[in-house]
Amino acid sequence: MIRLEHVSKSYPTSTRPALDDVDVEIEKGEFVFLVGSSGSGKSTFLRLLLKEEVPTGGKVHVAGKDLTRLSHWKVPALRRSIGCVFQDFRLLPNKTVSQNVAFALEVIGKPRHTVTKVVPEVLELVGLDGKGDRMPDELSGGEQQRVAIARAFANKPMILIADEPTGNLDPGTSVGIMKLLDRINRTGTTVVMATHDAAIVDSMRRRVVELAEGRVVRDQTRGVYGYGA
Amino acid sequence: MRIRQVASEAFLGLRRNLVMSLAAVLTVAVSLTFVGTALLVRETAQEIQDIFYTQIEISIFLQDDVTPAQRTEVTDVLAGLPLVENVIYESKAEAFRRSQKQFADQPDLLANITEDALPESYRVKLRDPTQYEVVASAVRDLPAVDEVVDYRKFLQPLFTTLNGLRTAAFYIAAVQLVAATLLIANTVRVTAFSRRRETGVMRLVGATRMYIQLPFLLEGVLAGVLGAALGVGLMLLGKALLLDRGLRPLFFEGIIPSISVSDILGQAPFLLLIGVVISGLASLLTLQRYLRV
Repeated sequence: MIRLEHVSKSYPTSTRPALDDVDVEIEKGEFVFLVGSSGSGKSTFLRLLLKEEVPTGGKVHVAGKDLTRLSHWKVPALRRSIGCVFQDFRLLPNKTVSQNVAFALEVIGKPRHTVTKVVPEVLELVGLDGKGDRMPDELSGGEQQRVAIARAFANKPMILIADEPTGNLDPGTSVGIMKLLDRINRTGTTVVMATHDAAIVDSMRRRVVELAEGRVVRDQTRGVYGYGA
Repeated sequence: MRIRQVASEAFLGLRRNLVMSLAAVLTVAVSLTFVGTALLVRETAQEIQDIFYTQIEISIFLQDDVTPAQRTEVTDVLAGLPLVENVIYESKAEAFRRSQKQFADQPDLLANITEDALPESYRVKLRDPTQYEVVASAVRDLPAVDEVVDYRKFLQPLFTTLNGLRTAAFYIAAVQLVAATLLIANTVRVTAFSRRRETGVMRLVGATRMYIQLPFLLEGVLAGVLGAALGVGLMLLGKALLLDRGLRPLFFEGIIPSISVSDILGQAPFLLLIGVVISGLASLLTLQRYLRV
């Protein structure tokens, strides 16, 4: 589903490469934690998968496409097959919960009847049924992140990318979000999640890829956050 | 794609930063008014030229003491020139009678004119008025000829002035168009910035570049179209207030061809095109720079 071959990425503003000869393969349906300290290259890794960045060297394959050779106008199609969740939720504050989810479907040209059918379904899946008419600022952080996940999952993507989705949430709420991501993973969706949260990684017992200074320093199938942690 | 939704986004964008949009629309309007005026001046100058040239004659004034042989020489030369359409001879007596009529309201002037004071002359009409010099050089050195006068040279200052006006209008228009382009670019940039959350989400979920940029592009083009329409309105207003009042006597005399409403409306499509092209280009370039897709 995702394959990085000898991928390097340097930014012109930095002397040290953000990613340095990274080789990672992620199968369909896997759940992978991407861990490492700030600046270790996690965000760059995720951005490469969306073709928000282009690698300086190596190849990136996502959903059967070679992103280094993917033409500009095919990028939207790529992004439609990938859902994204962020630490800061990125909801539209002037739209209701339902409208936020609907927006993501409307702007990729889904017909109205599909949108009206899918939105309540996916809100129910994330545990927000009955809250569709609320505004984002009326919800708790955990609930807002559920809206974001609903939006990311509404188009049934093959891959879900989560960049520190629990970074702004308390531990109790985080557990709920992880249960939700786990449930989404069980529908067959590949999940790649960058995180700093040791407790979550340790409790989930999933594959862990650790980056340090742009290199893969550990890749364990049923890992924990760090040695001796 | 929902056309109505996209169009309403464009209007909403213009309303959201009303002051900036207004500045952009007005600048487009003023600049296109100048473009249109310059074009009208050019057309009118051409028409005036055509009118005068078809009426204009060359006058050949003869010396005071001409022998019949010398006079015949002039007639023969003129008859031999294919350029000449027709020749009218005016004797001293005829010139005197014409002056009596022409200056009837200026008795002081008439008192000083005796029949002998006015020269006899030929009025020559040319098939092609621009070929004046050919005729002039053919007769100028004949012993009977005193002076050859081309009336075009009296009109030259008028045409020079009109040309100057036209050039000035074009320069002002050019400067205004630059200002208009920058203002439209800025309007689009402000809107794009104020909607960066929405466009960010659109980009992430895989909306196409076209879908994301179209509302902003339309907003810019809409400013251009409104500006062009307003510009045509300004020209009509200018015609009603300036031309129709100030120059009406000249129109009636047929000295200056009148500029009609349809002349101005005839410019409209062209002005609209300029408005759409510059606003479209300004918007596209801005989006290229400021809206990541």
